[in-house]
Amino acid sequence: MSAATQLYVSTLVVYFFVNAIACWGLDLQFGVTGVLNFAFVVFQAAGAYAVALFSLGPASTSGGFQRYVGGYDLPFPIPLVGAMLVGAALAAVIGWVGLRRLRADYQAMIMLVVSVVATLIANSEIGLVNGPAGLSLIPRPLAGVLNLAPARYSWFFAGLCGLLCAGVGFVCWRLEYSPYGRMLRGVRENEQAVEALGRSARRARMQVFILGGAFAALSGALLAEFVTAWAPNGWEYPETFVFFTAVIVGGRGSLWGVALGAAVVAVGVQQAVQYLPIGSDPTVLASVEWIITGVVTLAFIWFRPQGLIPERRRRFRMMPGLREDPHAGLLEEVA
Amino acid sequence: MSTLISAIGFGCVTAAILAIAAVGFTLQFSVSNVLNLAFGSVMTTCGFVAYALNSHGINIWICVVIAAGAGGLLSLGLNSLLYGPFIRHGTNLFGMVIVTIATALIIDRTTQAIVGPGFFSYVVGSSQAVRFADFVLTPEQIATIVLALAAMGTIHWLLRYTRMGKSMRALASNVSLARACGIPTRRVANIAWVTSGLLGGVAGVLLFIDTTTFSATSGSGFLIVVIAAAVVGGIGSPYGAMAGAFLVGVTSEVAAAYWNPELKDVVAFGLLAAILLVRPKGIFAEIATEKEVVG
Amino acid sequence: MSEPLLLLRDLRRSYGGVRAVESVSFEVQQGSLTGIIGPNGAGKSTVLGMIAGSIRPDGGTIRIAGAETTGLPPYRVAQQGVLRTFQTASVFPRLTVLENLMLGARPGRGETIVGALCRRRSWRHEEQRVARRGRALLDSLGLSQDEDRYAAELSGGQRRLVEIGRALMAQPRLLLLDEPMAGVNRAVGLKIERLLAQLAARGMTILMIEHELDVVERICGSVIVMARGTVLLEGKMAEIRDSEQVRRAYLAG
Repeated sequence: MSAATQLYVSTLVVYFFVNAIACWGLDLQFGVTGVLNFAFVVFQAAGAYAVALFSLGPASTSGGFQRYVGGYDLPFPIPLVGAMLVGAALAAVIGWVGLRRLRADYQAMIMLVVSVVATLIANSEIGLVNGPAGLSLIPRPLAGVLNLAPARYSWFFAGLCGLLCAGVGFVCWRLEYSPYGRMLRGVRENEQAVEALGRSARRARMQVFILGGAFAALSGALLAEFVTAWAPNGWEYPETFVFFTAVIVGGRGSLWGVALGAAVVAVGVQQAVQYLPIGSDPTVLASVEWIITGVVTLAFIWFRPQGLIPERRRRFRMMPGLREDPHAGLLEEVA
Repeated sequence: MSTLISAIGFGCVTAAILAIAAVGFTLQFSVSNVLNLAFGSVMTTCGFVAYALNSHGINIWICVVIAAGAGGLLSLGLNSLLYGPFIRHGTNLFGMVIVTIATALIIDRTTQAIVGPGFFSYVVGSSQAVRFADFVLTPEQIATIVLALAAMGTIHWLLRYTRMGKSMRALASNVSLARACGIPTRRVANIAWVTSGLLGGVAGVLLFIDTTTFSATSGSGFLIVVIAAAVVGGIGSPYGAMAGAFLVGVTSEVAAAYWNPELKDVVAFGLLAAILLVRPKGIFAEIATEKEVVG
Repeated sequence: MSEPLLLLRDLRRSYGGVRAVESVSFEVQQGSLTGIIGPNGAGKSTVLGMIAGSIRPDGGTIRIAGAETTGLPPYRVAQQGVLRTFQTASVFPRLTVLENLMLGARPGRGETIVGALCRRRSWRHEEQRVARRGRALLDSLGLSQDEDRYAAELSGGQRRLVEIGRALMAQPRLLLLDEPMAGVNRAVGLKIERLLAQLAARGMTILMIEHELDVVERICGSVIVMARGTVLLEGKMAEIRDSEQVRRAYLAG
């Protein structure tokens, strides 16, 4: 493979891992617990900005061409960890206001509003994160230490993303295939019933909101480090919808399905559009990408709402060698 | 002092447009229980219908009327050709939110692919600003306020004194009871959709006259402010939407006059957050928490 | 005399000026099976909802075994051992029947984030025990063939059984049932009736709303008659049956 091809392929791999992390985070909220977080991309953006502000030097040292707060010049991996914490903290605040005892669709509306407000603030408070122009020259982790050629560094970064992606996948798997996951699915299925069984639905929603926020922030942080720039027009509120489409197409509540959705929708559609015979006008291309995303979503909700790989039905097998429980049959002789 | 007064004047114009849109949005939501996130796209589409006519030399106020008709048709079409079938197909409340946002994307981006990314303006005809006590407003702004008052009056009359309005209110409070009382639920819902589209069309053109320039995604951007007004007022309550629109419109313009104008919408949303903390269901919350959707 | 398991004093609730429940007071003794009867709109479900915490009372007190629970959210009331079923069977449609039951059991070590992530070894044994208990219960409800089906795939009567079974998994101190036999066929209705009678015989405390007076007479030790938001009479069914007051309330209702 030529260096250019290597760069292209490794970039796609990075995009896949980053999107898979984000989609798993969203799936934990939307697919498993039933929280319609239409502000999801805000948490991704929070992670991206956080990683930038933690790893860039003070604004004054960059010759004043961009203005921002912070600039702590911290070494890898502190900015990534910090970004996750920022995402989680932001989720805690927004969730506290937005996840009140409201119907799921009201919550969706409020999150939509939150998303727009966040872009407005980032755009108009120039001193915060450099306004509409966004931040650039975000340092790539360990780039100075490793001193690799671009294609090789790109593969190194893909490996890092893969490692983190595997970690997030493992956490999601542990959570979803456990009594905790069962409780989350209970919240999704019937909030009233889950409360009548002694579990607080709001608490559960809040927890996945924070966890999902942290994962979104991690994905945003990795993305920002990889492309070394981040601006408000990259995270406007419709962007959240791409993740929703990926989760719906892949299969809500299904880990493999969501990963597949991330590959097909979040990476695949974007690449495929470039090969369509519709010219190269960037506006038309972007529009067509969005239209395809919308139509695919409608088609899946109509024809295959469970997605390509549906959520697995949980069956229980007894572990061999477990002692008989004397309290097992409470009512064995009834009926 | 004069800054405050002129800000309140502008606030009234914003509130007028917001009120028309918010009442349309919330009336349809209270009757059919479908959260129509494509409402902003209806506004934009009507704005471009008006633009097409206006650029052929037709007076802008005639365009408003035609755009309203287009909005009604488009809204009815959305419900009967898209949302209705999805609901009858078994898509739940949850899924419908996604369906409407997908629809909004498709409409907006199709428009964008056709008209391009640029900004457009109407030919309104230059006119002298009018002094009205301490308020300085253009004739278009005054016309906007008058139109809004007329629209609110009509909606009030429709809801309070007509059979159809009473059916709508019945449907908003209890679907199965309304059905049991022999109210033709689907027809009433359709009329609510048409009304919502009419108001959306008017609000769209008025908004674009007021902002002077607009693009394919302007309506959806404004929808967020509409939602804020509707939620502040208590989502599902048309009177709440009027109050919410006034509150949001005036506060944001006053804030713009004294603070960063770019952040005027942030003020509106800050208000929203504050109210949600005190009254999670809005000021005039009156609809039931769990309701059946009507297709 | 010992503290009753459930004690209501002067409970009130109105909806937009309409008084649904007005000064309701009664007691439920440990180990009794009590029925609430009364015409439609008597406020029976509102009282049940207030005990369970899903409806906030305007005034009055609710005590469970001496501890006040007035105004607590539903999940806190449930944590006190008060489990309920709903008027229309309320299951988790896309959870299997066995999962529905297992979610009824008191939360174990695997139901926190840290527990799910780090203490897999400890909760897996717990899970086995819960699953075993769930299977035994399904067996006695005649649903053991259906444990891997989604609750959405069940008939109305089967869902009702799953709902009751799920509440029993928590080993409730007080079981609240809102018309457990409404909308199920005769066979399932009889099954539920026998189940309740056996639970009562084992000393479980049950408070149920029921329309069928014959059922109440057969299984309920004591009866509370409600009409227009108040308690009309309390006593044994046999005594109440002949009461002129009750007859009038039903005719008027």
